[in-house]
Amino acid sequence: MNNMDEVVLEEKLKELIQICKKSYNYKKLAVILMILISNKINEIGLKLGIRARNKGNGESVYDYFHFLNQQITNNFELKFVSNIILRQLKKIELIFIRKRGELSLNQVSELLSLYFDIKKLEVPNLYSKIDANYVRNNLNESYNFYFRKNNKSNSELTSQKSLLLMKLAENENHIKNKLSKRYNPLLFEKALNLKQIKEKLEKSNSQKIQISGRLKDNFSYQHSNTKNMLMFFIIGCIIIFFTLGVSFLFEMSINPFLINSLGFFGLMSFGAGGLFILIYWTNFHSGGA
Amino acid sequence: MRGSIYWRSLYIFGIICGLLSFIFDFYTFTGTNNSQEVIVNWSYNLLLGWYSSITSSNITNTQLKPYNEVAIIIPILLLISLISGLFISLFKDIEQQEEIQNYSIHSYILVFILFLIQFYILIFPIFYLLQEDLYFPIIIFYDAVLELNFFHSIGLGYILLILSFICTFPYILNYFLTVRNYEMDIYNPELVLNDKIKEENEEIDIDKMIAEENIRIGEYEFRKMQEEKIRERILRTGGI
Repeated sequence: MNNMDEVVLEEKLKELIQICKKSYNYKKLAVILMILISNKINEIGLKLGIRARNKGNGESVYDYFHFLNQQITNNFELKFVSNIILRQLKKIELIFIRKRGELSLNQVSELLSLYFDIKKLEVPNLYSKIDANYVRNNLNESYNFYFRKNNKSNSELTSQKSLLLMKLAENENHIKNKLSKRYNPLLFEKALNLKQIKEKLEKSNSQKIQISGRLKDNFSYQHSNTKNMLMFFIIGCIIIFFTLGVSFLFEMSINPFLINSLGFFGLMSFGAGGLFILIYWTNFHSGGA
Repeated sequence: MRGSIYWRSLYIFGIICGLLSFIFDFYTFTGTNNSQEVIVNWSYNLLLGWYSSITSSNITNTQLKPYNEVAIIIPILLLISLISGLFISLFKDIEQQEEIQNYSIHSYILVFILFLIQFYILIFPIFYLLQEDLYFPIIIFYDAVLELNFFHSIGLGYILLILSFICTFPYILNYFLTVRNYEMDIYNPELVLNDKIKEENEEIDIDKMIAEENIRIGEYEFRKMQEEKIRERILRTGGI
């Protein structure tokens, strides 16, 4: 959503709040705010390249937000969302579900302030390319020294490389410390850049650091990857059992006298295929990946 | 990372199963007479084709030799793909690469393995075995004309190929989708992201809701006005 859309949405929301206050229809307001919060959190997740909320499996907005927070914390040891926001969201979502959206004016205003708190949590565009100029523009003299002088001996290069790596690690830790106190999207992007540069430098054997890839590549999505692989495994089982079932069915249709002996195999194949479909349906259906 | 090692190991196990299926028999049929003497025996091997363990010049055995064979190029392609698949997982694993867009050819090779395995699991029995009246997976029957007991069965090679498909499928699909998604992202990441957000988010029409509420308020005010009018009329004319 671009800035213009955000402004229009806010204006419309203001109008709706005024009207709902007039008509005392707080339920409508609560539902709208809950959807807006869910959409916003989904947007954050997708921008980070993580899966969207699994609505089909009944994953709550809180559970999903908590999962996102954990992913970011695991990767960068930073505090992305404050515990207060998470607790507030958990509380209000529980009330919302229990009362089926019938919230009081106070609760609705709490929900509204929660929405604006979540809106403040901007994530950098992780799909953008790593800026190669970042190395030169943002790193101080000692780093420039590494790049300036050509034809260095191997030992000289190694010692300077380890010095540079040490400085980078210091810088990274400094940023991490800041981020652990308070989330800042710009610092977060900087941390991602540093991490990428450090990794490239560690791998590089020459004086050049090859900068490529995207910020998103810094993330490791262990949870979603394992879940995806499990889903693919089940899909594979479904395909194989149905393939076998179809071949038995074809054989029986050509030679009807084989029905007695092949019926069992056919039934087993389709049965196993059906069972795996059921497992897939209950665990992964509706956008689990 | 640990989880991905398990899946990669499973994939390598699947590839090894696929390679082993070349060693074992893929399909076999045997005919025995009433004194349990083997008169007919033919087995199918992916590389060798049909071969018989009966060496003597048995006319019945020779007459019953199946002639439908898969062109030799297909098992060779499967063998090459399986070896390439093993090489890809060991040296070109997607998780350790950075320039993912260069790996699309590898992903297609892996998908090709799945197609070739499917060919042997589905197409081979239907279009090669059934044409020769060879049944699967396991059938025992008595041929009254030849007076022989026949035993038709798929071999260990077939079972290993099924296992190979199940074990390699998750890794291959993940590899293929990662490369494909990366390629899509690289052309227009913003557009892909926006589409994804639009697709996942719930749509809300605030204008419609405002209009609904306005109507509700309007109706309520109109009703109130009507009630007020009635009350005034009663007060004026009713003399209360």
